[in-house]
Amino acid sequence: MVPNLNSNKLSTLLAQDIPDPTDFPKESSSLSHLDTATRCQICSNFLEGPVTISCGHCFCSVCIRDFMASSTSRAQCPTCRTATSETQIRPNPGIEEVVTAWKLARPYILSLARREQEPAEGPANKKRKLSHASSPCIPGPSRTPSTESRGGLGNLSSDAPEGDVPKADAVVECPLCAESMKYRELNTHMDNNCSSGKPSAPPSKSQKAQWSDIMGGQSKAKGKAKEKAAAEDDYLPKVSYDTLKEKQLREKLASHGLPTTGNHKLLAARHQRWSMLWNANLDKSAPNRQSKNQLLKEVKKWEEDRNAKKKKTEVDKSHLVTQKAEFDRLVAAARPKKAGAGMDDAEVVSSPPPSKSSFKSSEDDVIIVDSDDEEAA
Amino acid sequence: MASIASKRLAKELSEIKSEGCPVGILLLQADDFSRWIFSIEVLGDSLYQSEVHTLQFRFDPQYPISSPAVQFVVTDGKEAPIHPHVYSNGHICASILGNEWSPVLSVIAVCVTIQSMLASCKEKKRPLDDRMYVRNAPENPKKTQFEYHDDTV
Repeated sequence: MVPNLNSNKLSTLLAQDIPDPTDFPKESSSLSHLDTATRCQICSNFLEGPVTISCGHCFCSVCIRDFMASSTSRAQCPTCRTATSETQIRPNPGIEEVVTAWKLARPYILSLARREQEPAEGPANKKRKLSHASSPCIPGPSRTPSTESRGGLGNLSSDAPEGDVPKADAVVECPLCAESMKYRELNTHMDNNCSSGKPSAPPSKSQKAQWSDIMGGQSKAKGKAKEKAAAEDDYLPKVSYDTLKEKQLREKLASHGLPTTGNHKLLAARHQRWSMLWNANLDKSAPNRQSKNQLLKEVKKWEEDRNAKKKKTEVDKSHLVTQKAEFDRLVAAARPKKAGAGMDDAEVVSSPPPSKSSFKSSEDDVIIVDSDDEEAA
Repeated sequence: MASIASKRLAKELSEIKSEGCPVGILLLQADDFSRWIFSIEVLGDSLYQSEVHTLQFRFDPQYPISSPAVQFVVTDGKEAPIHPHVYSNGHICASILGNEWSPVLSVIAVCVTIQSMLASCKEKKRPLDDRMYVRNAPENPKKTQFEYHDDTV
């Protein structure tokens, strides 16, 4: 049924060591619970760019975006079915940190858990001895920095003793940039991020710039410059592809460096996939993000997978063509019977559905059926 | 995204193999990631005592975003259970297989749902429109647009 999920792939995949909550021995079920908790419930991999939606449930960004984009699903949480929408997707860097840390710790903890499984060779108190031996070492180094920091604090307080406020004309050192200045200028100096002189001019300027940013930029050149600078970490908006002409779509794709081949449907699908991957990538914290080139490669791979699937349906069409004569013959054979007496249920193949039937049959085999007890009394 | 589908199914399979299925459910065949076969039996006091039925799952590359195609096997002398939501061709009218499918559900979760659907049945009979549906049914139950009203069974 599915060409690229054949049995060869199964054996290779199963032979691979895919990390899984069941890796942990049964005795340490709490660990496999922890392992499950760090995984996405949709793809069951470790959460990648975890996001939360309005109900608080957490998924990989790509997974939940893919789910919300799929035509069959209404916008609801896959876990609790609370209504939600794409605009409510928020990155969850806290969980991301947890997952990263767990991935790092996992091999070590796994080896510990497995070692625990094996029959203990030495006496148990050997471990205890080890931990005893190491324990006196721990407070040693930790104590020294703490006394040092206390000393540091003491130094600071002696430099600027509380309550001793210098006079307004006294020359003081800025505690941030160590520049000397009169005490009464110190506050404005610090308010302006330690910029020296002209304390009043820069803020009004930046304020103006900020407002023009908010209002969309009055001067075109400025707006464009800002657009370019921000392009690297801005979410891509949702596009209503049906309202766009093919040419506009191609321009959009080209601006991201994507291929511009194919018909309207393919162009739209490609752009949609790109926006999804792009936005999902932004949900990751900066060090975990993929480069634009990697994302482009992923779109390419996705398109190849898609094409592989399409080929399969093309084969089906060719089958329709080659078998057309046979189908026509069958249709012709069925027609006269329909005109004749045949309302007999035994002739299942040829008899037409009863007129009072409660279903509609359309060309693509979609049948609406009511399976319920209507005579329930 | 074939790779997500096969990875996820690999995980489900390894979980089934290491932890086993719930009572009354047995994995009969999983040679690839497109078709799995389970046997399903309702244990305890029910209308389906000592009946063993065969359940077939088919997966497409969009799994788990799209639902698996689930039906009872009715070939090789096997029969679909007689139930108001199960057609004689094996198709099952259950909302979680259609518009209420959620990607957090798994193969085992579906098995358990169908098991409990059988267990809670009050009267053994076919759906009212069974003959009509079976005559025109598409091969794949996912192509049918069922209407779901009855939440009692």
